[in-house]
Amino acid sequence: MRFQDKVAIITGGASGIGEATVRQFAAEGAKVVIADFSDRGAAVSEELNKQGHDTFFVKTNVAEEAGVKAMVAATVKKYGQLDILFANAGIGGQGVTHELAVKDWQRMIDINLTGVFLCNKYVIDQMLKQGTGGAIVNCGSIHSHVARNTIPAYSAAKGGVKLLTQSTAIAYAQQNIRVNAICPGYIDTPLIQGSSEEARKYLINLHPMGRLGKPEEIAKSVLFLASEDASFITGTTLSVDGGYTAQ
Amino acid sequence: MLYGASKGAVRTMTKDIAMEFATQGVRVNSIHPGYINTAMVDYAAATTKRDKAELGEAVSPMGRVGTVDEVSNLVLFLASDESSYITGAEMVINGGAMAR
Repeated sequence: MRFQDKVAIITGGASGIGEATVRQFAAEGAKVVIADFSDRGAAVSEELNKQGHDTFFVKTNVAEEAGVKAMVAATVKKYGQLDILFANAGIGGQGVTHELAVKDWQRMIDINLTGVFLCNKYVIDQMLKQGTGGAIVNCGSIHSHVARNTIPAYSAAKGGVKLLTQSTAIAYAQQNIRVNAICPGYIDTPLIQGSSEEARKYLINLHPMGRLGKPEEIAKSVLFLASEDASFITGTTLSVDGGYTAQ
Repeated sequence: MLYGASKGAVRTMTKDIAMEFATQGVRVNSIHPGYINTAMVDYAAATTKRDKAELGEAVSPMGRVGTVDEVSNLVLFLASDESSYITGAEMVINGGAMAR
């Protein structure tokens, strides 16, 4: 049990990669705060608690500063401390640059980049108060490193997450707050389960391994980076992409 | 220069081999350690006339050199099924040194 008595916040914890990560943290002894915009988080929490785990759901919009502050406050009120953050909440969205509406650009940046910043900001604030160090894993993407023609806003946000991660890692390295990013390829989650069979095939073929990743495979990397096994690893990105960015 | 060139080659060669065997269940990744507490760092300390702690403070935002166990933990992770979707990746382990 690598995370016995540790307290972890997982944003976007109600589905997909976030939910898989919630389940693995709980299975390894952590107390888990499921922060999500969707009320499905309450059902996930209830199910886990019935199995004897200790979790709770906080309805959170990561793009709203007051909401993120409240999420951290609720965590500390319930568990008295905070050790791990997986800033995972995010949305997808397409649109080439000259056709992309400013409001769609702004929504993407607000959730996928500012949301990560706000969660890092208020979690670190609490970790510094505790003086216990901590581990943060931010959710980047293959599109933190390489682009595609139809997703300028997504790529801009995820590229931003990479350097936000590096900058934050350096700033708090001496306080033993480690900050890393995972960079998944296309993962079989609700974000792409609505795609046509043709689109799915296209996405699969982008990965040298010839398949999409599973949420559980991303979760395992998040747990590694959050664990003591990664104690000298900070300011890095871990690509979990079936070889996508090695090409 | 020779050391840097050889390690750069390891990085791209790793990706190349990863591509070749991606569909055959062979995963290939590289690790890129910073200053780790080994004989190589003893040598670096001796030639620069600094002690190891001072060297760690200078090269890594974490302010220390890494331990060999910390590196082996990463090797085990990348060799295990925990990393089943990771191939052709490069993983640095250096206390934040390349982040700045």
